[in-house]
Amino acid sequence: MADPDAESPGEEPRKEQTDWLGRLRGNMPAEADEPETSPTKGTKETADWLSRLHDLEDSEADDEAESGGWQPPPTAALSDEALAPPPPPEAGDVPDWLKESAIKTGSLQPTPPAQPEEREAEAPRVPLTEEVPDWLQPSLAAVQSPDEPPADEEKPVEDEPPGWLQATTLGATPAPEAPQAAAADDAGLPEWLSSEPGPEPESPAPAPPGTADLPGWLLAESEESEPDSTPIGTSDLPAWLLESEDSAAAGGTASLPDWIPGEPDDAATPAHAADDVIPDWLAGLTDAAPSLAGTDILAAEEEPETEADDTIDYQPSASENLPDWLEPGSAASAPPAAATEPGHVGDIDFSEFLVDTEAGAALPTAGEVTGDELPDWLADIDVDAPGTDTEAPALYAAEAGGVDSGTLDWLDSLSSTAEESPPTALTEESPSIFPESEAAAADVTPADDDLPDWLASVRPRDIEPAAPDTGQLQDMPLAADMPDWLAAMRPAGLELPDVQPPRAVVAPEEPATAEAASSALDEPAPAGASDADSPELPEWALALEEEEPAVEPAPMLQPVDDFNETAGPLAGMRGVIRAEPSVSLPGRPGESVANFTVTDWQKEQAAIFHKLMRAEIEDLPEAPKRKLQLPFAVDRLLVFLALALAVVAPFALEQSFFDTPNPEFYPSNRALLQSIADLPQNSLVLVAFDYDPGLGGELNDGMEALLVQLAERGQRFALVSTRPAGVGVAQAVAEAALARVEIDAAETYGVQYVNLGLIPGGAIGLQAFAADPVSVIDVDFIRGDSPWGMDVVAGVDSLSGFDMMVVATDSPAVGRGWLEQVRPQGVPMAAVVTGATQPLLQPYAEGDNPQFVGLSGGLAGAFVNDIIAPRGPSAVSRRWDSYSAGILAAGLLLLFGNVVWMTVRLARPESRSESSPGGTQL
Amino acid sequence: MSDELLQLFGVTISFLLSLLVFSYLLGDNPMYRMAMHLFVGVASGYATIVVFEAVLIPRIQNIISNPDSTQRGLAAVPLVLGWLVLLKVSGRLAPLGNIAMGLLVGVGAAVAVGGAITGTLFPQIAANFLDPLQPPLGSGRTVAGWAFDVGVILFGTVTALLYFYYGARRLPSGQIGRPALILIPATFGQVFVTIALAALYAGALATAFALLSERVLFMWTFITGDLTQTVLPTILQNLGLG
Repeated sequence: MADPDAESPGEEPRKEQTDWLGRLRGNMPAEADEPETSPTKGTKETADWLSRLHDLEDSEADDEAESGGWQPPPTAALSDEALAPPPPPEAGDVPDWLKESAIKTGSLQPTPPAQPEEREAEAPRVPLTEEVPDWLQPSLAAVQSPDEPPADEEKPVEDEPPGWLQATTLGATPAPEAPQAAAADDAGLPEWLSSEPGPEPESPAPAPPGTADLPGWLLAESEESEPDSTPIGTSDLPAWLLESEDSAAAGGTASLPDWIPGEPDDAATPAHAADDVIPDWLAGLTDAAPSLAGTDILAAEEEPETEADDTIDYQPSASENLPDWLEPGSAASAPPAAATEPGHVGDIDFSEFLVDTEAGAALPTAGEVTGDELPDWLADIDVDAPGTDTEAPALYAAEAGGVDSGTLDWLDSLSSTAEESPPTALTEESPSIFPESEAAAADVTPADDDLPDWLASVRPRDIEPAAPDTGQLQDMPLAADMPDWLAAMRPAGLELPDVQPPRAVVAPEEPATAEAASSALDEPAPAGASDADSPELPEWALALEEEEPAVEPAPMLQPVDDFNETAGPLAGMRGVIRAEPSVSLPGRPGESVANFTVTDWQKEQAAIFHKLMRAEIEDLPEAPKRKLQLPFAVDRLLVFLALALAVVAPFALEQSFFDTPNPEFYPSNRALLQSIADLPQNSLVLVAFDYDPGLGGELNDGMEALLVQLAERGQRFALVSTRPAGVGVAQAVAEAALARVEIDAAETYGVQYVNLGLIPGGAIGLQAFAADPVSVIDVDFIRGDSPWGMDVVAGVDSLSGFDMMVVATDSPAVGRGWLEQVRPQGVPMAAVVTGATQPLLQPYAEGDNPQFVGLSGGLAGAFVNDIIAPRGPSAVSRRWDSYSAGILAAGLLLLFGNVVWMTVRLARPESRSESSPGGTQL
Repeated sequence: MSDELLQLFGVTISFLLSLLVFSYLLGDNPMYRMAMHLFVGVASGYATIVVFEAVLIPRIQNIISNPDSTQRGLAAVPLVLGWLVLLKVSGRLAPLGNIAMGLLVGVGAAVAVGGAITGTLFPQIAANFLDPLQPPLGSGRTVAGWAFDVGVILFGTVTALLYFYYGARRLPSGQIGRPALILIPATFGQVFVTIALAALYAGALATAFALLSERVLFMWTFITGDLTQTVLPTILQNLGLG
């Protein structure tokens, strides 16, 4: 079955296969052959590990095709010429597994490397060829018989056959009589043997239930090949085998080869594996030459599984054409004891079939096969040729005479290799998983002229030297490729050796190229495999290994720019083309262009900063514990007590200690009061209260005095504020001022004064108010009605309707805002500010054309207002002493603190150096 | 409850709250915190009420009552913008308020800059162009005194500006420092700047003492007057002890 993926080597053999199959299957309907020979269908349904087996067979077929036929005509016993060392075959004609053997025997020189596909395909083949199946071992014994020793045989087989061969032959000796008896008697023959020969396919005999532990599809085979074998129970069958049986029963075998009863859906099932392993040519061969041992074996496998239409007619009908050893009674040895291990595909001991064939009990004789059904190569078998009655089975055509000496070279090497190599531990537990392949590789001794090339290549040319007898299974290398489901089915008693990849055991092929060879050699050795266990490299590989250094790679030009990209998708790559031109790359400056030039003062400042920062990260020494733990800071309390005493003492003593402020030193206050005095009667003054109640202690007195001045002079005033809280303050101060002049605030509201309320929007609101006060102020604060209809502001639609504006604020920004946004309207503006704000707004009240026509600042300004325009007892005068005493106490405390600090600094020079440098030097 | 009692109750609360604020002298304590929270809460509530009653409600009423649809539409624009600003409190809808905030900030910046130039920068520069030989009319200043004042103003202004000249170069002596032409006036400028800062500190201190004196006076008056003359007799009388 050719692998469709294979290269051209598989094409030509396929054609030849068709030809010879056509000859072989003269009576077969063409329709039945097509599915079998279709390589695509089977390949598609094959698992990967099976595909490798396909490739293996293909490569073998290629080799055979190149070497000629595989079945020599049955001639007499092997002659010396036939067993003489064959001439060194051409490299292309020898499979790799044979090459190694040939190299060891000196019959083959290293050949040029083979195609990689072939190497891949034959990778799993070596383990197969390593194992000499039981049915082949008698043949080996016959080949190595004393009468016809191989030319290069160092140790005669008959003198001391290898252990594995002894086991094989000994195992064959006590063969049960039942198969022989059954072979002699037609009644004892299995159904497939007793069926009528002819082109019509034979229906597979149903497997007797509960006969053995073999899978169902094998059960029938073993049943027919060994009718008296121990019945096995189907209960021991794995599920997939049962499924296979079911599918076979369901007739779902349309796509299966003839010998397969059914193909499970799972391509990895053993049934499928067997399907793929058996090449079509072999299936066809069983039709024409069922009497041949090898083909009988395959036929025994195929027979119970094939459908009626696809069944190959392997009924022996040309027993007269069989060699002697195939005839009943020609076998000197009895079939070996059944060595099948239930429940395992590889447990099928095909030696049983071979034994049956050898005994001639269960297999039809060659004479029963009609001549027209036999292929040419089979027809050429000389039954009467000398040597056919040897103990070796006639499978090995070299014994039957007429064997092409060149064709039998592989037998010589095989026998010699078998002697040289340690005995293969082909135990009962180690049957090959793919007996078909082994059979195809070992039992076929084709005649070069009768077989197609691809079929001839299947012929095993050598047996791989067996691994040292470690007591492990010989098919263990297959375990590496064994799928999990198959490995899980392995009997528990079997010990899995260290997995050795088949490539390591395969006689190395010569790779097609030096690179392939090197890559093959560079493959890491399997874990656990020691050097002693690993196979030696062939000479050709060693030669390549030695020659490899000669092929020096061309020196690569070093990239000029060893730039290592650090950003973007090419990050980490060296030698990439820069994104920016080289001229734009920053270069190393010739000299420092920026040296810090710092002064000593700057150094001191830096030292101070460094000290501060260091103190943040260093662990400060634990402060000494105070003897008296107080819940508050004593120093703070002492300062407060001193100030509180200074502030409270004037109230307690009820005695004035400080003079009143001289208005001469407060020109701004005087200017303010003068501006108010200069207003015409019934003028309208806009008074803004832009401060919160918290500052009322400083500003309320001054604003109250100002409003009193306005009220006494009969001026109208409108209150406004840009702060929500200022609206209420304005109303409270106005009511207090009016109360001082004995004016009912409620009655005069809307007539003498009005609270316009809030101007929202800060500076923007001020600008809008300056542009159109009517649109900004919708309702007043007290009544909630539109104020612009009240008498106090009647006719006012702009700021020009106001004669003066007074702003009371604690914020320099608010004071400037009024100046900047509203003052340009040309309305005189005065300000009453806090002591903290006065220094910042005082410049606006100075000069030839001051922006503030008057400015009153702080409590002193308020007191000055009371002094200039006295109206009853001033509230400021009551606390003037307290205020003055407090400021004096604060000044004294500041002075005292500075004296103490300077004293300490002078007394402790070290503290001076650690402290701030004090006076700076610019 | 009569107005006197209400006033007395209010004064008493004010006294107690003043004591709580002064308790900060002993450190941060719950009493102080409670007084602060109460003040912040009352101030916020008061401001909210004022804004609603003085701004929002009147303008909404104007929109509703305005018969002109165009006027109503134009009047609704600020309301919509204000509503978009309120969406800033929501993390998901905050971007919707960016338009109104952008408009507010942009217009505010323009107004502030324009006002600063026309209301502060130019007037203050012009105020420094004084004729030292011609004192202001009505000021009563002598020419010499006025000229001295103008000289001090000019010198102080120039030196203060030179103080803020940040530049150093390598001197002929090899040291790094300001050139002498800048260093000396800048030193005087530093003196003027220091005096200005001292005036600000003094003004802040004066404000603080003004407020302290007012509060002390209030408390002293409450203790010596209302508490002893009104509150305690009223309490004792209500308890049947007076």
